[in-house]
Amino acid sequence: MIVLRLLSRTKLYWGLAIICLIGALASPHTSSGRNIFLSFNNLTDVLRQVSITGLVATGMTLVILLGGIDLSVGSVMGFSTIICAMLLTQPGWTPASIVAVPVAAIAAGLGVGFLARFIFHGLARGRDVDAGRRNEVVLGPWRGLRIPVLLGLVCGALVAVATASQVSTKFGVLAVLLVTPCVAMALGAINGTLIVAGRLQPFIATLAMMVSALGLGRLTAGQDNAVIAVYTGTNATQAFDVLRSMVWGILPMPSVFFLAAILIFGAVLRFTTFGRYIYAIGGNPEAAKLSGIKVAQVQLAAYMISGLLAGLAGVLFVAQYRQGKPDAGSGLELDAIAAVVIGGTSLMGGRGGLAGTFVGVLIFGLLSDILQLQNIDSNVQLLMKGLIIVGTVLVQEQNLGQLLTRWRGQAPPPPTRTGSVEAYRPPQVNVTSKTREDIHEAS
Amino acid sequence: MTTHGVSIQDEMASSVQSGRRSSGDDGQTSHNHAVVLEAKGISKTFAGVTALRDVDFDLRSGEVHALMGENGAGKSTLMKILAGVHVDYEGEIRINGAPVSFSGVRDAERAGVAIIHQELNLVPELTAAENIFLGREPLILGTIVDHRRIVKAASALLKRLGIEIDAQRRIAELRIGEQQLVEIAKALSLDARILIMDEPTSALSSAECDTLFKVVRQLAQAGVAIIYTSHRLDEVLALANRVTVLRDGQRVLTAPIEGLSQGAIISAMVGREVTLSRRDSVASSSASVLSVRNLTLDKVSSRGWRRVLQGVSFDVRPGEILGIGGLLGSGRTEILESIFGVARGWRDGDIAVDGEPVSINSAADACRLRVALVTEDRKALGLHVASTIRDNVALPSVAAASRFGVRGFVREAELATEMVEKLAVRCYGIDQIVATLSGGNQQKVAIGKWLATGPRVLLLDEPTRGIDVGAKQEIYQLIFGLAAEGLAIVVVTSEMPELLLLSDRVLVMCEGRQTGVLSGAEATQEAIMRLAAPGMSERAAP
Amino acid sequence: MKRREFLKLSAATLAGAAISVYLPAGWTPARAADKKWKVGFSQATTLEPWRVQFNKDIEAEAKNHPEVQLIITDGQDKTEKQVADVENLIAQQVDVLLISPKESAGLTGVVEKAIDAKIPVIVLDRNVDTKRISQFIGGDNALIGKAVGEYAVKLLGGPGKAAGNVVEIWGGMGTQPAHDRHDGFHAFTDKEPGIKYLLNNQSGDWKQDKAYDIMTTALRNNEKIDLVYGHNDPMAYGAYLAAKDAGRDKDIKFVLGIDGLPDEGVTWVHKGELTATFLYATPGAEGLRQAVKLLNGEKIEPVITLPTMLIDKDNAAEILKKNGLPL
Repeated sequence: MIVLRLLSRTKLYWGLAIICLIGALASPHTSSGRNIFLSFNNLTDVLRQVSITGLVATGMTLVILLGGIDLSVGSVMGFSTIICAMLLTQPGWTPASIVAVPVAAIAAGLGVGFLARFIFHGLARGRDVDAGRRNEVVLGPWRGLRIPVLLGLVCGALVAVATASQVSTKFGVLAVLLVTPCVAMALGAINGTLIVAGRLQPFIATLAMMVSALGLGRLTAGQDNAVIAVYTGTNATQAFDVLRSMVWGILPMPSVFFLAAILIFGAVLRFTTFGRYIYAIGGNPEAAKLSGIKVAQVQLAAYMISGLLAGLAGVLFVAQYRQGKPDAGSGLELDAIAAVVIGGTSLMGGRGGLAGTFVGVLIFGLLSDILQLQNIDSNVQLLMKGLIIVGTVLVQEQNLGQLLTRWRGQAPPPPTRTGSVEAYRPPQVNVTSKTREDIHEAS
Repeated sequence: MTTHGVSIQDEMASSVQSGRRSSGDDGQTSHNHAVVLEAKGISKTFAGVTALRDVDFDLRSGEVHALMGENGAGKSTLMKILAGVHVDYEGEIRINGAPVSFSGVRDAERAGVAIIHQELNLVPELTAAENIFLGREPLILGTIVDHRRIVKAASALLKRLGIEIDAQRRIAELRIGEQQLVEIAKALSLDARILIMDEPTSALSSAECDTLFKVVRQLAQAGVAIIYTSHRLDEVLALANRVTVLRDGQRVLTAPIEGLSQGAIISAMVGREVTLSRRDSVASSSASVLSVRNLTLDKVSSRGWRRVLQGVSFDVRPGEILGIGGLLGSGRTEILESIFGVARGWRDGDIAVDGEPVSINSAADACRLRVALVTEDRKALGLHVASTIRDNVALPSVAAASRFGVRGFVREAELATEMVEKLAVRCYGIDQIVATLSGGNQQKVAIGKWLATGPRVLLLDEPTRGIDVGAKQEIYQLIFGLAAEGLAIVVVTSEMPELLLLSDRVLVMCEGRQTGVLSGAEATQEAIMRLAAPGMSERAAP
Repeated sequence: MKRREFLKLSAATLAGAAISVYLPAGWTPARAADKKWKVGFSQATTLEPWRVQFNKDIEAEAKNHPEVQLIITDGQDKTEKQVADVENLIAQQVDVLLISPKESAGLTGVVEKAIDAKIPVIVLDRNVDTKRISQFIGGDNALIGKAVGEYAVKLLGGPGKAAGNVVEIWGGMGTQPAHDRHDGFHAFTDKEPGIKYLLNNQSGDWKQDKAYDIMTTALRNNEKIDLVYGHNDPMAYGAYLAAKDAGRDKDIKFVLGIDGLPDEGVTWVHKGELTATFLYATPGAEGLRQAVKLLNGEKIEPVITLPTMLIDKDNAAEILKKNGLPL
């Protein structure tokens, strides 16, 4: 039984292992006998290919954990590819730069301002806790608001000047890498505002954004261009190729971004108050609000992060495929949602995490790779991917547990987290047989 | 509707018409009617845990038999066995002398036994009439549902029961009390001669309780036997003919209601002597920690703006317990919500904490000012039932326990352990999922969650709803202890004994207005009820 | 109350921002009816470069005919939208309808409706399933496919002796042109025993990035690839990029595409990235010319097949010069 429970808990990794096994066994071989599937180049290719979907899936995980959904990521990503491609290839004040420069400045200003206030709060709270006051944080007007606002304005101005200077020449790599996600984050902020202040359902708000962003992308690119081609070295800076290179010879650059996102946001979910709030809101939004959590702020932040990562994915797309087009991300939102769901995150919110998403993304990528290596017809590939989604979701924790229970015909034991009961002695108060019945009666 | 069903309604109709509402006789005399149900040696085990052990139980026709016991004592199990929900048990059941063994709920219904669960089995989107005949709709030509007949039959049924509900209204639009009455009508349309009711009054207002009791008495008079559980002792004393007390799965007491005191019943249920009395008035001289002046609340409803609170003003001092009494809908919960910043609607008035005027517009604001609210509905609003005790208790304190945004796991665990010990929560450990705790322990976790934030004002909304007697006592003791530590406590409760026991002063609300503040000896049941009733009508004590 | 105000404010802000930034970029106010003829053109989508060129061509041609008012609608790659567009044009009582349908079956009904409303219909690029149309103008994809196939055989050693590994990347598998280009190609290459096909029905859906991914795996799987045939230029180019990124672009001898747009296929051929491409001319300009002829009462042929042309290193530069593009 313990073995089964352990198996059930790690079943996602088993799924990954099984797919790897199948891939290795079924793989074609080179003429020198090497296994193609397991070859270094193939695996890094897969890693590179899943990075774009993976970045978007990371943001999607946060939003889904919150109990919401973001259908606009595909279109926002497509819009980002247009912005990125235009900034790289077209000098002067194009629609792209007109949008990008102010947004970047505002984002920088607000970002720095909030960071400053956050640091001051943290310092002040440390002092207050030592002084024995819980929960009350009182900051004088200077620390509280004036310095952060000042810092924010200064920073925003600096960024505005810096980006504006790049407008006349074309944008460089770093500039594009910083500015494009800001624009996408702004779209995410619009999503968040509609959901929080306008009280629209996430499905509806992001659906509207999905359609709008596509149109926005078309308009920005202009009537004369369906696609904006990027030729590094000719019409764009050669340095842009660095986003396609291999880091330390092992990891493709896009996957570095992906892994960094997974690690950073994984840590955020697990170790920060923000992450805790996300789970709380997803689990029970009303209770979370009544517990004093600022639900609106958390939601807004989550949608902004989703937008940010979609923007980053857009930049990587342009680097890889040398073009920006408004429909670059069509279907991406569904791939991302599929990866998140396969990874075990519940669409209702409150359960799941990024480890699952990471594995889900990999499973999807490896599966596509295996099918491609086997030279399977494109249409059959689509069918098989659909079957895999259904299959993995059926085997997910809840359903597996219920299946097992029905077979064995008994009530499952009260769920606890294994391994931690021993760490705490139950309080020695009235632990009689009545206790067990108490608990049982309630379950 | 079968002929048998018609006969019950006829009997009741005739009893109503002939005005045979014996007031003093309200089922208080012992009936010498035939034994209609007899259970011997009932035992049931769930996965190694014994829920019932060799329980005998009998029921006479026309009597109201109260079944009492703490949560976990086995009441639900016994009722479910009698109603055919559990088919696997040891022992024998006889109905009207003949042994029976139900294969399921339908089987039991056919034998005339119907159960009304605490969680009502109604479909909210359908009308009352449709719900009553759910699954047994009369058909035209065997295929189309005959809506007119359904409505007619349902209306007639409700009318005969004296229930004034339009059979064509959707369940979702009815209040809980009305929904409960529809459930009873549904059970009766099944021609039940034995009616089992699981905590029917836990969510009812006193007016609705009165209607319920009226119906119950009518049914009893018509010969229906009723098994009834409740945690409200005063109700049981008013309504029942006999009482059976279960404890730890065994029957400890069966006796007619006369001569049985509250204390005796409680002792039987809990197994030890319990007496809690009101504490001596605390004359505190310190300044008030919470001041409310002219609190006004307007809510928007389908009919436009409605003034829910008008000009409510009061003070609470540290160490004081202020009780807020009044009928359902008089605005008591809204006062607490307004102070806590989560009231829906337009709010006006001044609130001051520790002498400083404050503006509280969200739970987050209230938290910051160390004002805490334990809500009425702990499962849906107060707790994350799918999470562990540790997560729940630490939630409002997560920010306080963190440094620079990084959670302080150790501090959170400390808080949880502290609360579990202080409140004596019965659990396996702080990593137990809250959903598996009993109601009383869940409520303790809900209270503990707020205590961990170190509040100065604690607002409690129905703190012992749905909790059994033993746990109630523990919570009362807890509240007294907290007040002794210097917390200012405001308690809203619908249970008069609780209100009287806990409060140093009682603020009475009536239809949104504050009708009076009673303190010390003035705060008697009669005084409170007089102030709470619209139109100031007299009410006889049961 | 708060929510409604917020929504109004945000709607106004967004609309204002959009208009102020994008007004120059995309709005053509309807001109007064000072023209003799109203020509309606329903385009399937403008998300492909070829179709953008298509629209540019027809608009350029319209400037040559001042008496024509040209109305262009965009079906946004959806059959239902295109049907609605055509119905809209019928309601506007256009004098002649030009249409480039997204697909044949779904648009046939509304084309017949136009014909019933006494509006002559000229179908461009992809055909519909009715014979009542006035004219069909398009390239013959099967013919082009054959041209590619013949050329490929020549490149790989000549008829009877051609040998090599071929990667074929399909366009959208649900479209007729993809099948025609496939069949035409195979009509020649299947006859050669030495030619091997490495991929089995892999579709790039006309998109550069999908072709890139397919080619990456094909490179992984196969050590020797001699010729790549993409059903359109962007896909061929995507395959080239994949080879370049894998460091094997020199190993692949030939890359062939179809479309021949000056700023895409021709440029890539000129740069040596594609070996050759075949012109798939847009019927835009010709379509408008034929429409004017029809309106003036002249007789027009039922079918005009646009010719194709091989574009390779030899003539690429000249085409670029003619179009004013940098060399």
